[in-house]
Amino acid sequence: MAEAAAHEDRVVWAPRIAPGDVGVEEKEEVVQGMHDAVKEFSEVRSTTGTYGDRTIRQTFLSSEGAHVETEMTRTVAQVHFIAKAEGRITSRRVRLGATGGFELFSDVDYRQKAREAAKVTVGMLRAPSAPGGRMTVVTDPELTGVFTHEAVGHASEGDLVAAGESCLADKIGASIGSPLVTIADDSTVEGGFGSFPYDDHGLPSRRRVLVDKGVLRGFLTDRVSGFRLKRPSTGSARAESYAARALVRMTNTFMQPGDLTFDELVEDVKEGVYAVGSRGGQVDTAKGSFQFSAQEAYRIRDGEVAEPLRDVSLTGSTLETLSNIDGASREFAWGDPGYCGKGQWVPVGDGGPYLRIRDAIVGGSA
Amino acid sequence: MTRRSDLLATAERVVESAMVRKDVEGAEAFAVLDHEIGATIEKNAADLAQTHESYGIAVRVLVKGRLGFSYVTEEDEAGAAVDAAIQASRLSKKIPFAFPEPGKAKRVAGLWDSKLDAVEADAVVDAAGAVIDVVAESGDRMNATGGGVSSGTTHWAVANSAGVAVSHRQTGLTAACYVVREAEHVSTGWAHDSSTRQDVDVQEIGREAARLAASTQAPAKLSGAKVRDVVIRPHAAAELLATITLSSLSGRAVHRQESYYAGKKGDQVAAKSFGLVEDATVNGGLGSGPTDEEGVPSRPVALIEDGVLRRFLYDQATAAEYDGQTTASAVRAGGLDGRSFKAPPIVSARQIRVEAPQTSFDDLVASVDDGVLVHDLMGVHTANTVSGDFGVTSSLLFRIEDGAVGDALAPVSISGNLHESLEKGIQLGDDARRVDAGVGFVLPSVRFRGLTVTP
Repeated sequence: MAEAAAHEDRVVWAPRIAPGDVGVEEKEEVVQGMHDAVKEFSEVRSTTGTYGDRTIRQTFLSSEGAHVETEMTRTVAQVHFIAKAEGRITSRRVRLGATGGFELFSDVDYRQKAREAAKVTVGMLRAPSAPGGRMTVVTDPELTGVFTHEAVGHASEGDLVAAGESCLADKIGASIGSPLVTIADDSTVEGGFGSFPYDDHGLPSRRRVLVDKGVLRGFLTDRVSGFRLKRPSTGSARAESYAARALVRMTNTFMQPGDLTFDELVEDVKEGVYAVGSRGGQVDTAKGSFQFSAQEAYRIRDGEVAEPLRDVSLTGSTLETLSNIDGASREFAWGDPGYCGKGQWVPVGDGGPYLRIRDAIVGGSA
Repeated sequence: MTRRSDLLATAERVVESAMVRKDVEGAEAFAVLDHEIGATIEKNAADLAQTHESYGIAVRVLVKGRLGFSYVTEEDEAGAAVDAAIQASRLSKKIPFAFPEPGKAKRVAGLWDSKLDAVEADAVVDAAGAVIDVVAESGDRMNATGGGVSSGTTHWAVANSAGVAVSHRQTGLTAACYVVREAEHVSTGWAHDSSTRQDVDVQEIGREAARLAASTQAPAKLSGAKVRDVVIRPHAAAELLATITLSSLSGRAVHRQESYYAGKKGDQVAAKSFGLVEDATVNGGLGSGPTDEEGVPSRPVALIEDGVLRRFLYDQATAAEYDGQTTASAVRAGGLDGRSFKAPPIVSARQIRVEAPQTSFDDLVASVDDGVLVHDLMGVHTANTVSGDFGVTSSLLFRIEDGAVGDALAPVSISGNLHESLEKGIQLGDDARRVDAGVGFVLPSVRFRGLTVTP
């Protein structure tokens, strides 16, 4: 394994409001509140709400002398709903989650968030399918985050790089995209869904720069892949539970903002698509191709966001797409918290600015 | 290992102990012991054999018409699970529920292979090594970068206060290989196979993955987005059907208006030639078993027959809630990939048979003038399972021109609506394979008409 200091530490990330001190009725109220908000729309036919909180106490000991004890809490609530009208049917999920406690529900107006999602989803019901083909696409911060995670994050995972399954394998120091692209993974983000004080090899949390102004600067590594790649661990070892071995995983992955406003991004797009939110995605890290689907989408016509489009998916080559980014907004946001699957599921955060991508491939009807 | 033979006795004891508790009207215990030995392939080396054993007891109690659930991982903590389940019942809603009565189950052969029960870690590592060797011998710059071989056993038992006392055991073997060929272009190949018996040709997995990597090394580019016929290989086709069609046939989804099929019982929802049958009594099926995981005997259920929507899938709780009848479709979370006792049963298809006009694989291809042959699909999980709309990517595919398989193609996006595809009618080849798509299938390649293919 890659050399690393043996740490002795005890860290408690105490939530402002411990979920254990909150009655089950109040927790039910969160789910009920999100349910009621989406049910304000008559097209919403069915909802499934869930609430969960989890306090994790973990001790890491090694024969090298490490002794790290950590305690942290994650809280999450979501509502999934189905909307129907005129023979059309669609679904949507709204999720709130953080590394923290019940304060999440006073910090965020969850009812309003659910209501807005329902309003947009209902509007999408009557939308036509997207036109398929290559066009300019503007992504919102959540979708930018998912692209960053799927296309760049996974390909920079040291275990995949060492296995020969990454299109970024021999590209450290090389330009892999537009100078507007700066990407980092940061497990120290306060409240971030993927944050932790120590990784599952007992190494401290940190910020890891992957791409700096278009140039590939690093990979994510644990001590095993670090050894194979002759690089130090970046503290990226995460295991789903005690019953699984730690793998190289992302934490909170994001693209840095740029200097344009949203209006400036859109105004010189003659014909394109504005894609918002994510239904998830997948990537072939070896070939460097990706696929993800948007929650909602709109046509862009003559520099204006126009009518809605349903079921838009984006695909493409990672490197080509990174080179085709020609604008990023100064506004930055984290998307809905997610769970990343790689044989094991771990909580992650993704975020970024609004992004403009030229010549992106939109899946839809021809 | 003494726990293995005692699973049913343990489950019955837990039920007895629950039934003496105040207000408990019914109880069920599910005890499970999983054992797995696995070797992973990482860059031409068989790496880290791991053995994994998990044991657990899941408890459901019915208290004043409300179901409560809990689980523990140690036998002597079963009392705590009963306490927690009783407490949890207070939060759930009242349904007209009764635990299932015992029934006569048909024997299902081919689910247990004593050779797999006796497999040692060395043999699993050797098998992974054999896959790697085959890949290395298959040509220059061929790297087996991922995959592995794993072998395992599952023993479970379920008992309830209505008299169900069922135990079951099953073996499993899985081999998978991901090949990356780094020449002028990077090309990849992927193959896998699963079985309940030791009849997986692990070397063939390596050969198949290497063949795909070799044959896709100089992909041509398709020009322009166009509606085309698409022939999809068994694994990818099964994933599409499981994700969209089967999830829409769950009684829960239907009654909650979360399914395209809600309100369509008796309607023509697919071409007359199309049928879909849940049948977990198929010998050796990856999702087969004499009973479901509530102990209800398996039997064939025609879900779609001659294109007409006939039945939905139910477990006991969903049937009780929506006035249906169980179709022996209770699984303990997630189906084939890792049974878990950590959640109450959910409704899922277990072993599916697809009925459609069948021809040879060659004739299937020959019937396509301008289309693609697809080996993999990425992003199926992002499909809109309710509307049936999907937009996925394939990066292992070939052109079909004038009825013949031609050049490998660069990745494309494929989109369409699966419900509409079934209405138009699908056609099957004769290259049927066992497939684990979360649901067990025996499925050949499938031709779909009129999907949008975008380069």
